[in-house]
Amino acid sequence: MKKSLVIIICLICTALAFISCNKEKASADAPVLVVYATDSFLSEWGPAPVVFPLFEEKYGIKIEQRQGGNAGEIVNLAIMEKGKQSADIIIGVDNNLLSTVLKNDLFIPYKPAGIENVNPDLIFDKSYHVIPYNYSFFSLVYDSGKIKNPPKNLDDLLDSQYKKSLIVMDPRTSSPGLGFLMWTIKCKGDGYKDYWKKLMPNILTVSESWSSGYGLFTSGEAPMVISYTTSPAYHVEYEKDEHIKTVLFEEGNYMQTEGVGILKDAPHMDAAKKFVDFVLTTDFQKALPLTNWMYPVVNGVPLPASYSSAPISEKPLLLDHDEIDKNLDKWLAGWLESTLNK
Amino acid sequence: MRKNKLLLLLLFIVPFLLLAVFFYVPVITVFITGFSKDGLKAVLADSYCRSICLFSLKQGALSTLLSAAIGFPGAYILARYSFRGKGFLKALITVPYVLPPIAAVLGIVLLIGNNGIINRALMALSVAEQPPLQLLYSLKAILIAHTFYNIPLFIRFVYPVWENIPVSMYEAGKSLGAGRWRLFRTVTCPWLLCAFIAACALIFVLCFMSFSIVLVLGGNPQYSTMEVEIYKLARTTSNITKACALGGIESLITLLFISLYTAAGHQQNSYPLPVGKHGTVPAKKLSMHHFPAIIYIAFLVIYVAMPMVTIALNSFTGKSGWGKSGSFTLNWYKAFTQPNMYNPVLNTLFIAVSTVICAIVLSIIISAVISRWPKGSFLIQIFFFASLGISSILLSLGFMLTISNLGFRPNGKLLLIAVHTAAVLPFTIKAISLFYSRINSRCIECAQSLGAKPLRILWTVKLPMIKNGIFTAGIFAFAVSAGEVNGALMLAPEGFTTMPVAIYRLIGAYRFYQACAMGTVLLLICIAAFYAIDRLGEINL
Amino acid sequence: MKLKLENIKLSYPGKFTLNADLELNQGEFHTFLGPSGCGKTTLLRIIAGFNTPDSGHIYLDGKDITDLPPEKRNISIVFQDYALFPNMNVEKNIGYGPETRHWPKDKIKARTGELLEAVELADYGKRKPDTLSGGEKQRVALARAIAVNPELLLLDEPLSAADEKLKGALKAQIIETHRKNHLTTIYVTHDQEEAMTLSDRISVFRRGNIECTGTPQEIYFQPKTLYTAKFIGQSNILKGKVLNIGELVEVECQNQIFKVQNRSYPCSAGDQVTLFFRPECCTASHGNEENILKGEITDRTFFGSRYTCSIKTDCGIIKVYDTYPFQLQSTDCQLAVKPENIILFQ
Repeated sequence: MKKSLVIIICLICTALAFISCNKEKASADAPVLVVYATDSFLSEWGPAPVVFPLFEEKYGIKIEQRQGGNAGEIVNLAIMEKGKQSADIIIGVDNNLLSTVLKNDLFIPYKPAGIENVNPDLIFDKSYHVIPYNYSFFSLVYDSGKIKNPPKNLDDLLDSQYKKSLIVMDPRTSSPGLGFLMWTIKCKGDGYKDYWKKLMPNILTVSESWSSGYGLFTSGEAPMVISYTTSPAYHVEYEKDEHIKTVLFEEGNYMQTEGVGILKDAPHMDAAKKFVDFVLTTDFQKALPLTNWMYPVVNGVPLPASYSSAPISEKPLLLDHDEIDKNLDKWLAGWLESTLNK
Repeated sequence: MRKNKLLLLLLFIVPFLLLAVFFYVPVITVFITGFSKDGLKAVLADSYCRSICLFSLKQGALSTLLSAAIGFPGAYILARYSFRGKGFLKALITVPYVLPPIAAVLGIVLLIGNNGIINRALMALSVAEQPPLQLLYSLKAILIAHTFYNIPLFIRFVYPVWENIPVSMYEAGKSLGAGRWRLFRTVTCPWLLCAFIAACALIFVLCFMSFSIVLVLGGNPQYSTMEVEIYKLARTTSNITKACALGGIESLITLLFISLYTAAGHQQNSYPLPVGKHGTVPAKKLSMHHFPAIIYIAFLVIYVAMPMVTIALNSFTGKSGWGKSGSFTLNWYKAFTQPNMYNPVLNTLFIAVSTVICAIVLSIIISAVISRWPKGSFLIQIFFFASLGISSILLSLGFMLTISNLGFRPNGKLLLIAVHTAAVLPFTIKAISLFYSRINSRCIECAQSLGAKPLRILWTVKLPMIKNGIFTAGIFAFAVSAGEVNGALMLAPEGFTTMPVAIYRLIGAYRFYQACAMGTVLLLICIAAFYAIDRLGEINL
Repeated sequence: MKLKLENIKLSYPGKFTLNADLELNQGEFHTFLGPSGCGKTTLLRIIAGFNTPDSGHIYLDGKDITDLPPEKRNISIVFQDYALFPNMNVEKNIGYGPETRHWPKDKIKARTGELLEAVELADYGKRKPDTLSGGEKQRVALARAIAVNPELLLLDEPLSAADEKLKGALKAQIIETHRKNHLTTIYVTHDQEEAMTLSDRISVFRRGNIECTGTPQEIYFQPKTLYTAKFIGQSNILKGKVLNIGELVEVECQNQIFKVQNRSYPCSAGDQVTLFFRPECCTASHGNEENILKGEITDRTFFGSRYTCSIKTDCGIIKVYDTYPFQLQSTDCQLAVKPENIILFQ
């Protein structure tokens, strides 16, 4: 009797497995769009839960999300999958990855409707392989309760009053980390190595990701952190807390722009193009400030009130992507060298 | 009898395929894609890589020694003393395993960081300007964090063996004139050697491959392990070969230690068990004059619990800065009424329970195979244990490649359960085969002679005899599955978030305190589960 | 005929080959006797089905069970270490066989109760094995084995773990069980006293072979091989040469002529042979018997009912049992052995 019980249970389990298996592959009839996006985009607290339903409703196309981790990992995967990928678009390609995607011929060029509403300076890929959808600036974010006079430029940051007060991220493993490194390179040129050597005493820790770095900042380990100009907006919006502030440096702030690209040989080309069009519509753009914490690229999209604490830099800094491609390894090695001899 | 052997072999194919498909295929895929002589040369020539390798070994060794040294008294106390709350203590010290590394890191930071509870208390007391306790962002911090995870692991490995040293060994020694110290040196220590080595080997591997702890708490790129370097190299396709080469070297080292771990465990299984109800040294009741023991237990509880307590405390904070300008709020817990908060809880439970069931069933099959073919048992164990030593980054890469090669996308939930099961098997196999190998074959033969078929024997005789192994295996399986992040991030289908992933996402979306709330719930569930499983195991002894 | 072992062979590389041909009758108590490592336990396990012979057949009630797995043979076994199921109480242990065979619950309860009474453990039903003493465990193991009325009961050295006092009680239990249930029983032991007192027939094992099979009396008084003769009881062994063969065989040993009635093999004159006779067959001589030996008493040990004397003769030291009335008093004495009490071996 026990034996037949076991057999019945096995059959039920197998049946359940089959059912849930098939559910994923079903609805092959309904039009579909397969998306690779960064984890922060797909997160429950990110833009996807807001914008994807809007798209699905508007066009009647079902979106299948594929997670991929951070932008670099997804691009890597797409490169390795080239020719046999099942995805249509990648959301979250930032300007630092541009040279990689162009070199590997990942995307097709596409000029979406509505591109004329975008500030030309924000279109970091003039060949329209990657279409920007939001941008932000890296900046110094600080606790105004602890820091009364924040640094105003890169050199101020070297001041001894800020000893062990700054949290930065590792440029090898984190976008803001890389962004800050690029920032110093853009401003200091080859003197960046010297700059970093001098900066080290002020650095409390080099964290591996923005998440842990900002987490340390939140728990009060250090009063300053490299983050985005939009960070204070979160605290104002959700915590009604205004003492987290940011600074626009005199020489400018380094910019990060994120974009979307249509993969070559996308199985659902039509749907992909519709999505890229959708990205530049107000529906999509206005969701971004409070979910992705970045500024929309389309002109005239209203920003929430809390964004008054998130200033937009007049002097966006950016390194040319060919230059990045040529020198990235060298720069990272240089950074390592400067920071190693603590 | 031949039919039984055949059936067993057929059943064995299931776990074998599981590991082959979900572990070996991705690993081999990555290495085929990436490995080359040039890559190897590049790595060996790079002085930074070499220093990283040395540092990984150094911090691994130090962490292991510290964990063993601090954990040793703990194993003694758990083995020789009985006290109220022992079960709870055992559950408590297992919980660190559940914490995703980022949560553990933040917990430790909240405890001993510059703005941590201890420093703030000290500053308030001494009116100092600067935080007096500067433990973090150094090698010290790395070691502290590693020991947070690994002292409990060491204790859990060693104390059951210590507890089960047959009392006849000591009585024989005493009758031959040996005093307490001599008995300790000549009876206890040799007996514990295998468990000690196995625990240390495993701890070394885990610390050696440590990733985010080293990066955040070290505070400086010189404190970088091979795992970090692989991560960095793997991010750019031009460096995949170097990443694989480094990964290959890392894996060779870890494989060495995993072999050590397996061999030690193997040897341990051959030790005789105490005979009869009074075969072990009776546990002393802990009382006030066992002062050192009490201090140690207090220290252990604080050390292990405090990071988790601080996380819990932070989950009640409304604004940044607990205590100062912060306010008490239950908002983050109220948020659990939202699907994006309660779904991860349900999902984690679903996956963890499924993993526990699969892992236990498969481990029983594997243990049966091992006991049937004792000559092959070492190889079989290495086959399943190797998953402990491969860089999870390379594994993720391999997975993604394999899935893309497949063309279709298999069911994410099943995939995740399969991956978790493969990851958990090293622990569950060890726990169950320990008991399985000790099943009295005469009992089985008697049952056969009384007419029982193999399935009935399994159900009525074998399973009750390995009950303790099953419970221990269940605990480990639950812990590892509940806290697993990488696989859940990569493989789960859309919308299917587990609690560790939710914690990461919350922190990544500025919601630090809400993340603490999720973390606290994760901790509570695990403590409850461990406690329940431990109690069930003991009651039916 | 209950059990037939036909041409069973099992070889141990590096050691010996087990060879067995045997027939057992219904209700017989049969003992496998031999030193450790001679294959008797292995043969038992082959009968039970735990070991597979290289060749040969086993017939139970005429049915060939050679390829049958142990759970289908209905042959119960009791081991030296009892092997009670540690997670079940005494009742459940005893009821295991019936439960496996899906007996109705009340029948199981009745049978369990009956057996507990039979082994005098009536109140022990709910106790766990680890709370029982050795003797109690043995009785439970026995009860468990016979609960399903097996075709055959196998006992593998069940008394070797017991002390003297316990042995007596357990032996009585085994005999009682056998008598009441008329079970065909095979008993394995190295202890000849157990073998003699318990068995209907004994098979003596030597390096994988059955030396000889017979009733305790046959084995004792008419052993078929010298090995058997020496294995059981005490013996006197003399070496000699056959002189001539007539109605009685004349053997010369150290200038002493022995007339022997029993030959274990057809011998011819001139053969070197071994003579065997028991100490109790040697008596004080009145001078007019056959086979008279003269000798000196070198040792005399008092056993209560007899003296065991060692007597030095021309043929060697002879052991003699001298019972009441004691006749071997003086140092010099004369012994006589009847020809029908001597056996001639190769």
